[in-house]
This record gives sequence, C-alpha cells and structure tokens, in this order.
Amino acid sequence: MSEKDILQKLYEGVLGGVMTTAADAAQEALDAGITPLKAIDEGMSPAIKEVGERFGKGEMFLPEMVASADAMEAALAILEPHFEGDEGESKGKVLIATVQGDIHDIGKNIVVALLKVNGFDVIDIGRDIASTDIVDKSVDLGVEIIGLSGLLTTSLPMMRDIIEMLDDDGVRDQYKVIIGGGPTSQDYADEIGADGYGETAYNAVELCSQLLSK
Amino acid sequence: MPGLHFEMMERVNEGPRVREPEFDKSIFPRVKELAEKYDIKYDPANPVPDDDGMADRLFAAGLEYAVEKGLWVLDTQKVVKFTEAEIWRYLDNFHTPLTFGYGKDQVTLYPRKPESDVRPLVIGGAAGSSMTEGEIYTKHMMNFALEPTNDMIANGNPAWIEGREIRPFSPNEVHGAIQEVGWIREAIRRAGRPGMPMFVAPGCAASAPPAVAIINEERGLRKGDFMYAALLTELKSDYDRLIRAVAAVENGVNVATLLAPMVGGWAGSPEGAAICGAAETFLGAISHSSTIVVNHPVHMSLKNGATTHRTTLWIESIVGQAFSRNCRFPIGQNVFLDARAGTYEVLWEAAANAIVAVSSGQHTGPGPSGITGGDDVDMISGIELRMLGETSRAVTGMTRKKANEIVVKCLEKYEPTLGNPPKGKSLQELYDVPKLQVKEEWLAKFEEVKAELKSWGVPYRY
Repeated sequence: MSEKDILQKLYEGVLGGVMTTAADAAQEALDAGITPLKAIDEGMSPAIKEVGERFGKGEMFLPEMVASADAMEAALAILEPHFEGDEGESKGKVLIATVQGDIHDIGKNIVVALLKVNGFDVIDIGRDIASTDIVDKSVDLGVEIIGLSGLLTTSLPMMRDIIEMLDDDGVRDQYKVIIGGGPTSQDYADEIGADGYGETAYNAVELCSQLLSK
Repeated sequence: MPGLHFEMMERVNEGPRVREPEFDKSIFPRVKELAEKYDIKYDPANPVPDDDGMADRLFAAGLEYAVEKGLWVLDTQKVVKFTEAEIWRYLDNFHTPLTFGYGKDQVTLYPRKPESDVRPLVIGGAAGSSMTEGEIYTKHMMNFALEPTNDMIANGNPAWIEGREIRPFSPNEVHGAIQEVGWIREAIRRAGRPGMPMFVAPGCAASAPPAVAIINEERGLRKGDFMYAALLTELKSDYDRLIRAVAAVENGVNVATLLAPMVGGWAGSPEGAAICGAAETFLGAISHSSTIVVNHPVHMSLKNGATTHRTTLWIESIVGQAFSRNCRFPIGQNVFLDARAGTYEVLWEAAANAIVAVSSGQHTGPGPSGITGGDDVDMISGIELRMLGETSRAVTGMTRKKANEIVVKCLEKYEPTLGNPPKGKSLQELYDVPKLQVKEEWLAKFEEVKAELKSWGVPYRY
C-alpha cells in the first residue's frame, strides 16, 4: 500500500469512527516508515477537522463523534511509543464534571468528545460529582483546566463553591476554571471569578486553547 | 393505575451489569436500523406530518425498541426489561377520561386523536424559569392562574430561598420546595381558583428528598395533583427518579414522566430521537406508573432546552400522533421557548408549539417556559401563556395539513434568531406587578401577532 493510501486509510478510520481501521492504518504507517508526526498531520488531523465541521453543520452526531474520538485514541496508542520530542503531545490536561446535584450530562459528553478530537487529554469524572471530589481530583491529577457543567439552576452555587475551595486551598492560580450549561452565562462566570464561559461546545474548545496559550 | 413499581424494585438489581458507554453507544446504530425498517423519515418541510401510516409505524418501532433495549438504571448499572404484554397490560387498562382538581376548579382530561375536536388540557406555568422568591413568585403564579385557558398550574423555579442560594441535597433545598408549593397554593387561592390542579416539578428539588417533602394535603401537593419524575436521556432512570415516582403514586399523587430525546445526542438524527422518544414513552409510563408522559424533545444546538426547533416540533408531532392514534394513554407537550418575554419571537414560538401539540392529538404544556438562571430572573410573563392557551383552544379540530402551513410560517418568523434570540424583558418591566396588569407595549405585540395568526387561518373567537 502506498504512503498516500495508508494516510487515506487513517483518515477514513478516524472520520468513520472505526477503531480497528484506524489502529491498523497507524501500524501500517509505522511499518512503511511514515513518521508519527506525518501520520497525525496528514492522516488524522484532516479527519478531525472534518469531524468538527460536520458536527457543527449538524451532519454528524454525538455517537459518531465519540466513535471518531475512540478511533483517534486507538491510532494514537499505536503511534505513541514512537513519538520523538514533543510529537503528539497533548494540548493540555482538562478535568471535566457535571457538578453535584445535576445528572444531566449530555452537554458535558459533547464537550468531552470535541476536546478529545481536538487533541486535549480529557479526564471525565462523570455527573453529580461532589465539589470536594472535583477539587481533590484536579489537584491529584495535576490538570490545567477544570471544566464545570450543569443544566439546573441549582448547579450554579456548586460552581462558585469550587472556585472558593480552590481559593481557600491557595491553589486557585494553578488552574483555569471554565463553566458551561443551560443556566450559566458570561455574567455569572465573571461574578464567581471563573476564567471562562463556553456558550457552546465549540466555544469550550476554543476557550481551552486560548487559556492554555496565554 | 398501578404500573410495575414493585417489579421495578426487583428488576433494578437483576441481570448483568451494563456499563453506561456500552449502553449509550449501542443506541445510534440500532435506531438507524429501526428507522429504515419502519420507514420513518423526517421532512423539514412538514414539521406537522400528515401521515397516519408513519405515525403507526413509529408506535411499532418504539414498542419494539422499548422491549428490546429496556431502561438502564444509573445506581445499579442494570437494564430493566419489560415484555410487550406487560406494556400493553398497562396501556390497555388505563382509564380515561380522568378528572383532576377540586370543586369548581376541576378539569377533565379526555383522550384525543390527531385533528380531534376534543378540547385539550392546557397546563400553564414555567418550570425551569428562574423567579424572584416570595411575593414576586406568588405574583407569577397568580398571573398564570388568572389566564382562563389555563387548566392546571405548573410551577416556576425560585432563584433563591430566604435570600440564600439553593443547594442540592441541602436542608435549604427541602425548605425551598415546601415554600415554593406553598406559594403556588396561595397564588391559586388569591386568584380565586383554590381547587385548580397543580402540576409541579419543584425548582428546589434537584434531589428527591424535597420532592417527597412537598406531598402534603394541607400545604403542598394534594391527592390528584401531579409531580414530575423525568427519565434521563436516553432510556435511563435512577433511584432518585424512582423514589419520586413511588412516593407520589403511593400517596395518591399523579406522576408525570418527562422525557427528553435529543437530536444530535446518542439517538443521532431526528428519526432516531423520535424512535427513542416513542420507546421512552412506553418505558416511562410503565416504570413510573405514570398518569401522563410529557414529551420534551431537544436539539443539541439549543442551550436553553427549547422545544421549538424545526426537528423537535416534528418529533413532538409524530410521537404525539403515534400514541394518540394507537392507545388512550395521554401525552403532554412540554413547551420551552428560546426567546424571552417581551419579544415577538417568544409569541411565535408559543403559537407554533401549541398548534403542533393540539393538531397531533396531545395536550398542551406544561409551559411556556425556558431554562434561565444566574441573573436572568423573572423573564417570563402571563402573555406567553395567553398565546399558548388561546391558540390551543382556537386550533382544536384543525387538520394537520393546515396546522403544518401555519407552523411553517411561524418558523419563518423566529427561526432566523433561534439559538441567539433578542434579549427580552422581565415581568417587572412588562407589568404593573402589584395589580398584575400588562403594560400596553407588551399587550400590543401580543395582539399584533394574534392578528397575523388569524389572517393565516387560526380561528380565534375573540
């Protein structure tokens, strides 16, 4: 198989969300002497861009995007041992949770999938998570960004609590805290001292990129 | 009508553990197959489809998927299954008409079918909309109760309780829920409708304890009132929801099960979300021993949870038609609007939602509402409910074909700003609140929109 065909297979595996195809193509790329960087830049990245565009237009849905993220992770797992220098380095480590008292997690799941396909290392600790657990896990795992989600109005005080806890623990400046979900707004983010507010899942990805580039 | 909540208590612990991602990821490919097998097709030109065959096929597809897939329970990570015979035993023995409320304020729910001239119930209120606590909250509720088209009153969400934030699982949350329902009782008394049935999804009940605490004949929910117990999207429940359902049923309170199939979510396409919505209607009815299922389809792109996206109007319509044509179990239509009070857009959205619900064999509401929070408080008024209620009355008996024509025109009015609607105004800006009198500017907008709807063929009598 030519180099072009292997990269095309990698592209199709990620775009189609087929883990085995993506992983096989990643191995074939290595066997053919294609560098991991080239495999990512010319095979996976265009697929991820396409996933993002299709999702934005409503032509692709959450399960398909999750499948693409899974396929990308499968391919990266093959390529990773062969990285040199900072090749394949994640864009940043993000912990994300739906706050305590709120079990609505689809918005959070969409953000998780979009962040993953955009190269972030995402730790999704689930829904209805106690504020203390969110803070403790963020510290233990050394994340850079804490993403807080909620659909219910009663989620809002929990977001404030988490920022205050980080303050009280003297570690607030080590994390960027972003919020999103139905009742949240830029005004509320400003009021509680969050570092950002994502109105849409896309905004959340842009926000994470911006916050980590500063 | 007894459902299977005793069986549920056993079945939540039976069978193998199913991990949530495995359950979620298997939905999309299967509903795609079912959409093909049953020939379910979304057509953006027809948000109110006029196709009895497709409605019947959706009913069959939803039943097949409900039996096959079951209901995943968060706490045990087990899947509760029901047989087709169990589901039919529940639906076939469901008694309608049903009467709710007390004394002169009683209302009766009759079974409806698409295009039926049987009057739908209008459930008016604003669950999900943030409101100032105390007297302002009570005024909001009076405003809703004073609308003559409103048959049952639904709650709003107090933004604070005793000036304090409401935290889930806290004592303040229980206190808040008790206060909230107390204010609704006071409001219907002050509005002269003390026996008006209540339809409550307490804003101060992110957790189950406050919901249980409001069942109180003297000051809270009475026998025959309604309490919400939502399913989780898609095809899921948890102990919290089941606790609410059991507490309500065993205290004589009706359960309204809310379901929110999502376009763009695990079900994928509008067709997939419709099949999930139909399956969830069966599962929600039987697992919660529900008296009504309230459909609230959502589109991934609308942060406020509005039900007025073109795709979700279609889901409301086709799911409503499927059930009203094939059984006597009633379906309500949650009405969540993207725009806020004071705007033209909110009125077009309310009208569209009413026309879809009524022409498709459903009941209207609860609503109109919208998810608000933070500083976005009191952005709701009785005028949106007036549009919802008066339009529901006017279009009772309208054909789906005519309904579709008008809904498409409404969409042309609000679709360009859907997802980014113009900023609205608060109750305090739109009304003389102590007197609950609407100001001329807002009333004029209402009359203007109503006149245009009338020119399109909505037969308002006044």
